[in-house]
Amino acid sequence: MHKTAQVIMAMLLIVLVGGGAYGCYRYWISQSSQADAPVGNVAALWQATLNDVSGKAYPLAQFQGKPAIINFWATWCEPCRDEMPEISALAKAHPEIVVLGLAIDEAQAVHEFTTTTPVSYPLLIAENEGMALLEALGDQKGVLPYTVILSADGKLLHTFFGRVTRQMLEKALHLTP
Amino acid sequence: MIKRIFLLMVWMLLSVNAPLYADGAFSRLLTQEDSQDFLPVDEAFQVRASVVDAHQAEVLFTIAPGHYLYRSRIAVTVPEGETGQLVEVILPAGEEKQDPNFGPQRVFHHDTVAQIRFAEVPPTTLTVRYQGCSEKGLCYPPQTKQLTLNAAVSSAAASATLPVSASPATVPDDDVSSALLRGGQWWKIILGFLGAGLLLSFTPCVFPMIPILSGIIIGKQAHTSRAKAFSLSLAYTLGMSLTYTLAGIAAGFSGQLLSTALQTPLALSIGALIFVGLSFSMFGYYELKLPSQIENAFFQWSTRFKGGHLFSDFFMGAISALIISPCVAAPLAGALLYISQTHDWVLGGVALFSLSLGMGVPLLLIGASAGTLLPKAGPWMNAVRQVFGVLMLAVAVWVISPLLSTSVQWVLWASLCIVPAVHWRAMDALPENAQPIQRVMKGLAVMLLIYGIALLVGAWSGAQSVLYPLQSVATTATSVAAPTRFQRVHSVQELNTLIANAAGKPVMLDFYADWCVACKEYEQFVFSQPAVQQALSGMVLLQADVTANSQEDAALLKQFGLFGPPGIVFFNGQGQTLSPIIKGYQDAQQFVATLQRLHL
Repeated sequence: MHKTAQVIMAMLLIVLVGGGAYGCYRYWISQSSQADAPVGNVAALWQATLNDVSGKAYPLAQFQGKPAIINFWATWCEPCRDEMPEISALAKAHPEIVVLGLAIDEAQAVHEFTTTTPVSYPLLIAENEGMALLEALGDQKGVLPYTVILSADGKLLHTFFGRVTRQMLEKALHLTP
Repeated sequence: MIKRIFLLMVWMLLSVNAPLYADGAFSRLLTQEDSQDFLPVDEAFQVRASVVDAHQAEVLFTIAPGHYLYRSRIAVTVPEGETGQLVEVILPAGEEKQDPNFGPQRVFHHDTVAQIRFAEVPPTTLTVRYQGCSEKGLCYPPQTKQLTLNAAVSSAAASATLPVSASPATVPDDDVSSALLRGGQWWKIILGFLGAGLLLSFTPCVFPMIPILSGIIIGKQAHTSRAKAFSLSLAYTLGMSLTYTLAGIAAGFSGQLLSTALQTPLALSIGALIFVGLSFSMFGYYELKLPSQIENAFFQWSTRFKGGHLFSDFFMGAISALIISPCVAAPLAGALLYISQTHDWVLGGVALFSLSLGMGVPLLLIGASAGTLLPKAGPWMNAVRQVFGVLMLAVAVWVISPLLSTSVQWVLWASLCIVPAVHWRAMDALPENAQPIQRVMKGLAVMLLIYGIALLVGAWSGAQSVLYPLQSVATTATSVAAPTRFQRVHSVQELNTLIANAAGKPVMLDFYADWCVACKEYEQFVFSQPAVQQALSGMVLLQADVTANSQEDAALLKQFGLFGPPGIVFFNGQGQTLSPIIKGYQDAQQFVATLQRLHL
């Protein structure tokens, strides 16, 4: 009888440990699948020319050659607005990194937003071009927020669906805070 | 050693499974993990349009669980080059969502119908623009869709849209538990259901478990060690929770109406008998325990190995779960509905588990106190046992009351007041040198006795409310309004015909069953009120009696996403189902307010 109890206990333990291990495995897979080089056509990005709220044109080619964070957002997207102060703080602390906010939105709405919530990096209007750029960079469904991390040699290092934190971005760029 | 392993496992079960999702950081991991398989926008939000009549159309937004549309970002227009002219677009009010930047926003988490009115002929196409987000922290870009309106079939559509507009089962806004689950936020679900469980633990249903558990703790001499007592009560609580979770998941999967099954006359009678049996043991008529032979065998078996008593406790907890079942039927409905609709049994199961864990909190506290929270033996303890006994009898009466006629219920309540009052010496003379506490007790006992007598009088005179037993004695019979007349409905088909025959009048459909306490309360306290009758005048009143729970009954309930009565559905003059559907009990005032909000 003593043995029976031990066997039952052992089996329950195995189920629990197994379940835990499976959970960790799933988590690890989800992490590593993002670490696997994401596919995307970065060239499309550098070819674009976008305006800021004041109408000034920015040919994106000028940002090539540096590590970059490209953050797609919109004023109507709550998680996007939520993450922007953290991205802004990161951009301020690391001037050697290019940080761009591409708004899938109207210039007027972006202008209103920046007066209440200024950020330390350029916000460019991609109302018409944005969806094509999102698709080229791996966000086929066009969901926001979407953040792309590029290496200095223009490789797609990491992509994030949904809200990012400063920590996640720093880790993706191998920065020490 | 084994006991330590068991404790470790229990700890792991608690610390790994439940708070895993409760933890904010972990929930962020979850959203990250899941973010790869979010829905394409056209699966998250589906939109259809149909013609209602010569001047009206409706656009139906079907919203997947865990997603929402912004009310202010829904726009319906007539494309250029089309003939029709839009007069107005009517959207429901929606739910409020706090947005840190834009302030409160109105959003729709559930299927929503926009009513569209045209000045003359409806156009052949409509342009619909909408934008929404997922609760996972992602937003979809604004969508613009061209929808075709089949104006040619307008006469046929008028009758054909009836079942169509009813079938999407507009999920009511007021159902908190299913709304929580649809939100898809794990930690909110866990905390919400844990809280609901905690509230439930204050209902008398949990009372019987306290003496059972204390019996176990004291019986096993465990009150000497805090750790031992706590591990016993933990095993007991987990046994109860797991049974509940598994039963709930199974019920959700099979699509069976658990809350209905728990309220059949047989189940109610058995429940009431269990409570009567428990209460008699509280009065000391007998010691409630298993026959000694069985108990001995069980005891011997469990002492063969260390930790065996934890198993037996686990087992006891599993059995005890049956006792509390009559009380939890209502809050379960939301969770079960979600499981049966989405087959997301993990989320549903976690919800049920946290619900039952919440109910077990007082038991865990008793264990943690190593029995110091339990009354000490002695005359005081006896008084407490008697109070518990009376309360359990009250639960038994409450459980069985739907099966009894009002006057029989009243006689039972009266005897529940009079007998204990006499027992507590309401009729005995106080001794000359009585203690102040004795005098106070006698005063209370006399009050209880008088209330019991008033209840008896009420039972004979046919009073309406337990709170006003002498109402019908004091007032003349003329003030009692005539009962509301309902037309009976037996099937979905019949319902559609009756709605079509309503000729522009709004329709109210009430789900009723003999065993449903709230339905009786609606009959007695709501529909009988003059204010309610006035609000309902000019409406076609239908009632579906689902006591038999036949296939037709189930189909009717299912059509409106209901898990059982009570449920009240309103239809406007065009035969469209309106939101919210009333689930559960609303008093006359709330009911009238709900009616006014519907603008019928």
